Amino acid sequence: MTITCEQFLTALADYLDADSLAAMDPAMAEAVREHSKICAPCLVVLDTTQQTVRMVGDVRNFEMPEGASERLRRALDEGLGEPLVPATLRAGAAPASPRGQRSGRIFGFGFANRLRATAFAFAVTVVILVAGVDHWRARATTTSGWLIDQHCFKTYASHLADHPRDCLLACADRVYGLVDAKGHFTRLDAKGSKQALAAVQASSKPDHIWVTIHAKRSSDNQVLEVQDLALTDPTDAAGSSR
Amino acid sequence: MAEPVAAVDEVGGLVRRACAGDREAFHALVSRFERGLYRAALVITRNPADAEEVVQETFMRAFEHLATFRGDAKFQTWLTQIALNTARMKLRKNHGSLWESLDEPHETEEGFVPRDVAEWRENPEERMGRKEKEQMLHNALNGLPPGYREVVALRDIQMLSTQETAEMLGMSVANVKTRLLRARLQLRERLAAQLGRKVQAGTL
Repeated sequence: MTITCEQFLTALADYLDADSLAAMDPAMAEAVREHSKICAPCLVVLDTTQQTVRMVGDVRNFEMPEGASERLRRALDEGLGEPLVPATLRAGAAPASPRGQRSGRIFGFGFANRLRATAFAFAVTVVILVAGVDHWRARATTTSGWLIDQHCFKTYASHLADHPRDCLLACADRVYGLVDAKGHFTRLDAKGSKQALAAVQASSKPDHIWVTIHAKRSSDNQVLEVQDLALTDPTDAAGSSR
Repeated sequence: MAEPVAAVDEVGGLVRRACAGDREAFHALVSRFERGLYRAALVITRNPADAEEVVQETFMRAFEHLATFRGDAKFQTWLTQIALNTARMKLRKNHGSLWESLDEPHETEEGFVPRDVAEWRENPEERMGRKEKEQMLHNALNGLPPGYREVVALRDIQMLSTQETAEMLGMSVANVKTRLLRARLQLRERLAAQLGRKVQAGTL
């Protein structure tokens, strides 16, 4: 029986394994042997593939990474509740976990571990939430709104656009603030009030004093810590922020 | 490749003792199978830390469910099934939406028709150090598609039979044979490329 190189290659699926070779058609097995005698490239493929199979088979005999076996036993100790690790190994310092900072123990097994994992997850969530709120507060944002002093806010609350420039300048010794879209008044810090006064003095607008400021909110959310401020045109009657 | 009868009996005895709560027997089973499981898990996950965790979780699950182990099944096959499931879960978890399907590997023709037909003049097994050989094989195995890595891990590392591999992967025996041959031919090409570079580097 003569076979082609393609048939030879297909037949290797059975020829390379002892259990498949045993079940292989003897005529086909013989044809593979005969073909490899007359076809040098196929002989090379057969020989080097057999070497490959042998080399890959050796992989199972490679040692575990250093400390892996001890880490495994420690993890099983913790998970199963009784020591699997010989006392001589347990007495030493714990070897590095496979992920450095990460413990070698298994999460998700045993009530105690589950409880610890849940408590840990809860604590992490709280920290993230607190940090997130602080981060949000600490981050400077750009906000627009009506500029007015604290004293006149109550008087002009329903018609903020009409609050005149002259009144703003007259109230310069008072505290300036910004009224947002919801009608909330938020005080500017001293630096912001100073910048606002300078901007109003430099402007000739009689009223409709609208500002856009870049500021951080104080931790109690009561004061805008102004980084930059400019008089702008109100695009609508409401304040906006981004 | 079947385990010798004496070895199977020995494992059977250890399993029975472990089932009865004998931790030393379980310890002996861990020692016997940890290395093979680690290597198979490393081939599938390609990550040493993940492979360690797969082995830990495999033994933990095995111990918890030892009572459900059917004595007529081979213990190593049972452990391998747990390890395969654990490794697959880990890959899905780690890779999320980028996870590459393990069940449907790239059935490309790459590697099926050998391109490199040069002889390996020097026996790499003799002239390479253990670390060097390990790294070269690790690189070659890591380049295989997931489905090919699985079949190599089960057949060539864990030495399961073609029938056992087919049942574990939910494939036909013929498909396992075809996939394994393609995987081996791809590995051969990758090893040939690395060995070729080494020979060239050595002669310069």
